[in-house]
Amino acid sequence: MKKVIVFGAIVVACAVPILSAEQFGSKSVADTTYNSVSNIIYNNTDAEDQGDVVAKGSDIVVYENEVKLQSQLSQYSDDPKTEEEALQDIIEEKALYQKAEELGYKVDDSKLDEMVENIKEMYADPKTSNREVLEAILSKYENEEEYWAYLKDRYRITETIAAYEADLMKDYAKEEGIKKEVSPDDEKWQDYREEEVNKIQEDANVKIIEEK
Amino acid sequence: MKKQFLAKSLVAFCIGGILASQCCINSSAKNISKNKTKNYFFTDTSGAVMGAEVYMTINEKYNITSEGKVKYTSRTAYMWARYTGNANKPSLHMIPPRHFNSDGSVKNTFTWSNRDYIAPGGVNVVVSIGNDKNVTYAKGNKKYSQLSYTLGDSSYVLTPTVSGSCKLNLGVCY
Repeated sequence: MKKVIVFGAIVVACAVPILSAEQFGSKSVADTTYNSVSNIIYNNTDAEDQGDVVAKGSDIVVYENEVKLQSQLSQYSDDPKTEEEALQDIIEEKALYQKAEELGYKVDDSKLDEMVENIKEMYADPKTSNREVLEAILSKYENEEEYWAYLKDRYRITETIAAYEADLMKDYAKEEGIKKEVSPDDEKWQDYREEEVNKIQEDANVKIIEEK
Repeated sequence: MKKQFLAKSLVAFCIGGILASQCCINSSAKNISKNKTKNYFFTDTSGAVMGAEVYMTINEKYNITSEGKVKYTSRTAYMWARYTGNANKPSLHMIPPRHFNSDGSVKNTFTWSNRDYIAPGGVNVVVSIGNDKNVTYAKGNKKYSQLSYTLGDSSYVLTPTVSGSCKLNLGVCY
């Protein structure tokens, strides 16, 4: 009987630290990731210091920190990018945004404010499952408003491009005589889009500045 | 005469039995709808936080058989999500709602697509129905946030969770 108690005590004594370590281990991995991601965001979103110019077109400028941000954050995604690949993505986005603006696409400030407000509300909502994501980002900024302003700028870009691409999709559907909704995965649509994007990028005439 | 009487009694007995069993099944017919909403953050590779709200509804119709077993007549799952800031247009929706098989044990595949094409990142939605021992799941991380999930046999717990955002060239996984 005594032996059984001693054995049981040993098992419990061993199991507790192992289980606790596992629990804390997974938490600390998440914490580390939040922290790393928020550091990358904070370090590369300073509006006053964007690093060197790495690419330039007629009306487009790409800064070093934008490239670092995209490339470094993508390492946490399913699709990690080199800096060269990230640069290409940024050029595409900037060219599309510029074209959309030229064509008169514009998103109301009130809509962008509403989007930011929605995020703030969600952050305050206890039923939001992973508030730590935003908490980690905001904790890096002395003034939270800097991040909210950055967010608004990003929404402006993505929403403007989205509106433009939605119309491109309609044009494609019209040309192809498609009456139902076009799936974004439609390969022909993707080819059509790629062709349009290539033309837009050519017009933007962006040159990559080689490192000295 | 005796035979005729016996036959009639037998028929009456059978009909009565059938009616009675129908009556009992019908009286225990259930129609239940369960809803669940959860919010999640995800980040695109420009560092912009996006929010996703995931809604789930499961409508179940079932009877309790005379042996006390659950017999599903219809189980329909609806799930959709929208990104915050786009309140009037659900950017993710499930098309089309599908049905479970009537025995309730059959897996089925659902697909969402990002109808409005606004998602700068994917959102990976994992749905589990059932307890941990009988986890069924949904996972979606296809291009343009297209999501698909599989539903299996379930108990009565709905647990939608979103794990990171890991697709296209934008989503960041936590």
